[in-house]
Amino acid sequence: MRWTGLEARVNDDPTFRRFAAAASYRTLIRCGDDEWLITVSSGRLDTVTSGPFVMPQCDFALSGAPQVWSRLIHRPAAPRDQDLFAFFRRREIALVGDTRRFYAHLLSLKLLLKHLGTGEA
Amino acid sequence: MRGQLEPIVGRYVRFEHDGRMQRVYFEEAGAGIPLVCLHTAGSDSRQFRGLFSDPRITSRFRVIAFDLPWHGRSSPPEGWQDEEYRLTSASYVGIIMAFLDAAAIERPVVMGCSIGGRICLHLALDHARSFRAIVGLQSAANTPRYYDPSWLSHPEVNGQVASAATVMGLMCPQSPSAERWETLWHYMQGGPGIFRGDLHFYQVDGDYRDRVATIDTSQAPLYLLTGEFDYSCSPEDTQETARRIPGAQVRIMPGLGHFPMSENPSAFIDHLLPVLDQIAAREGSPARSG
Repeated sequence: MRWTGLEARVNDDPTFRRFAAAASYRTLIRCGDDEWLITVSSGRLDTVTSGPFVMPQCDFALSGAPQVWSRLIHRPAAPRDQDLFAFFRRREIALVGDTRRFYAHLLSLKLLLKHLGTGEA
Repeated sequence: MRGQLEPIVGRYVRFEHDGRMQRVYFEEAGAGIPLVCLHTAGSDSRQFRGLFSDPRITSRFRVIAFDLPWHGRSSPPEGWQDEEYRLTSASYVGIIMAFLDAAAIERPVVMGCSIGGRICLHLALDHARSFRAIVGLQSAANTPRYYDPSWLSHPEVNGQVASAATVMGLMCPQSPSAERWETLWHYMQGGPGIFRGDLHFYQVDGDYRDRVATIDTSQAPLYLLTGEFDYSCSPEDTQETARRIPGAQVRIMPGLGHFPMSENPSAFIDHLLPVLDQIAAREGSPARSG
């Protein structure tokens, strides 16, 4: 997962800026034993903080094994590995937390996650 | 500079169905064998825009697509503000057959995608003799619920944007960006609670696993075409359904997702044309040109 420079890539994305406008939320990404806390504030990706965390404060968390996240962010994606919800269906990534806020910010979240991708688009 | 007129004509038809007046919008282009197209959950007939403008199709087929009531430019029935919209197998089949009758469309080919693909199985079960052929896109007898659709209509969530966000990853990432975002635009224009109401049919009511084995494809040929990037109705889901239906013909479409006719019309048409050729040949229609 390409965490380095994520803020710049996301905030330079006009589609993210359009659909994240005025949005503020925190999401925790759990990749095996590793954790990252992503904070979007007033429509911008504000901070990305790596764990471990003792009591992380977030709106919702997404958890999966490292090899699962690798498949989700790989570009080009293999058929049926191109989207978060595909991994929900196969129960490979789990969502916990405030599902209302997850749905409220789902479009900008998906756009944000694309910038973690590796490989050719 | 003069603009380019597309060959599509749109009209409304009014008819009574289930004790209520309906005002249904439909578009059509071409001449020949009627080909009635059914859109996906939460969207409308604009998904078939690519078919209307392809002379390889419209030279032999009269392509017709209608917006379900509550969708697109069709009206909701009077009193809609006092009820929650919820699609069922019975209401879906009922409105399709009522539309065909009201618009005087006799024995068409029917082609539907997603919920439209699912209801094609129901039409094959109970109304096969009313159709020359049945084409299910992204069609399977069942889809397990893997997300909670209740948030798609909630006062604290923008349901139109959330609906688009829910389906955006169902498309192949390599489908043209403009077509993928047009597909999402249709979802962003859906009425409040309509996508969720359609999903009641897709996720709960419309489970045909116990019935599809009784489909008789000698009454109407059944074709099932599924994009390989679709994880909601996956190729395996379609193949499992087809395995139970003697005579069902399956085509898996590489490089396409859940909205083949809308996310990449030209690629989809390449897969559809051989099917339409077979149907036209059965009907004694001349071979396509071009």
